[in-house]
Amino acid sequence: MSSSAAPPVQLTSTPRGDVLVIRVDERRLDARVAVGFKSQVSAMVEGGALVVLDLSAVAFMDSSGLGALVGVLKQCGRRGDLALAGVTASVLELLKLTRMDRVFALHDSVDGAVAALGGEAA
Amino acid sequence: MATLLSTLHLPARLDTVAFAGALARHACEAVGLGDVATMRTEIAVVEACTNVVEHALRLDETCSYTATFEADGDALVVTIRDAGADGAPYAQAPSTDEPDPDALAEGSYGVPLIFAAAREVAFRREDGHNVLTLRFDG
Repeated sequence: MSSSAAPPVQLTSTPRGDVLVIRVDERRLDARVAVGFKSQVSAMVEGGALVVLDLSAVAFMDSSGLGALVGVLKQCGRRGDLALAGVTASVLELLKLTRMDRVFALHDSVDGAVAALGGEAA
Repeated sequence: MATLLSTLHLPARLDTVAFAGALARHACEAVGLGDVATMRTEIAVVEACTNVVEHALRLDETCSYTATFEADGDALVVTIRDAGADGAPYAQAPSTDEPDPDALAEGSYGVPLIFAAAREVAFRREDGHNVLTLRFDG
C-alpha cells in the first residue's frame, strides 16, 4: 500500500480589503492533491471570511477537487462569501455536468470577483 | 468493427491517472471528437481510473489496471479493466437531482460525473475482473 503523504499544493494568498484572494498555482486539482488543498486553504481562511479562489491556472479538476471546493464553500459560511475566478473550460464543464455551476459564484476575473464581494480594487 | 488505438497499463497510483486522461484527449483527436466531447471524455476517464486506484485496488501500487482506447466509427470506446474489489457503484445510473445548496456533499460526485459525461456506461464482472466500458461521441 502507498503511504505517501498528501503533496503540498502551491497557493498564494493576497488580501484585497476584506477579501482574501487565493491563487491556486496547480495545473490539476485532483484526487492526488485535493486533501492537501482543502487542508491548506482551511488554514488560510478564517470562519466567515470573504474568499476569491483564483483558478485560472487550473487546467483540470476532478470530483475530488470539486469536493474540496465544496468543503471551502462550507467553511466560508455562506454561499455569497466564496467566489471562483478564471475557471477554465474543462473545470467549467465539470461544474456544468454536476450542476454545481449554479451553486458557486463564477467570475471571469479576480477583479470582478473581488468587486462582487465588496473588496478593494487592484 | 472497433479499431484499437492504444492500451495503457498503469500501476495503482493516483499520480498515473493523468496519463490515462492525456491519452484520452489524444484518442478523441484521433476519432475526431470536438472540444466539449474531449473535455467530457477526459473527465470521465480520470474519474473511472481514480475509482479503480482508490476503491478497487485500494492504492496498492503493486497492482495494475489497463485502459484500452478504441475507435468505433465516429465514437471512442474506453475500456478500463482491473482485478480489484467488485465495482458495484456502476450497477445503476445515479439520481440527476439538482444539488441542494443547503445540504451539499463533499464527495460522491465521481460516479454521477461518469454517467453525465459518457454517452454509454456499461459495467460487468468477468473472471474476477471489473470491466467498465465507456462510449463517447460528438
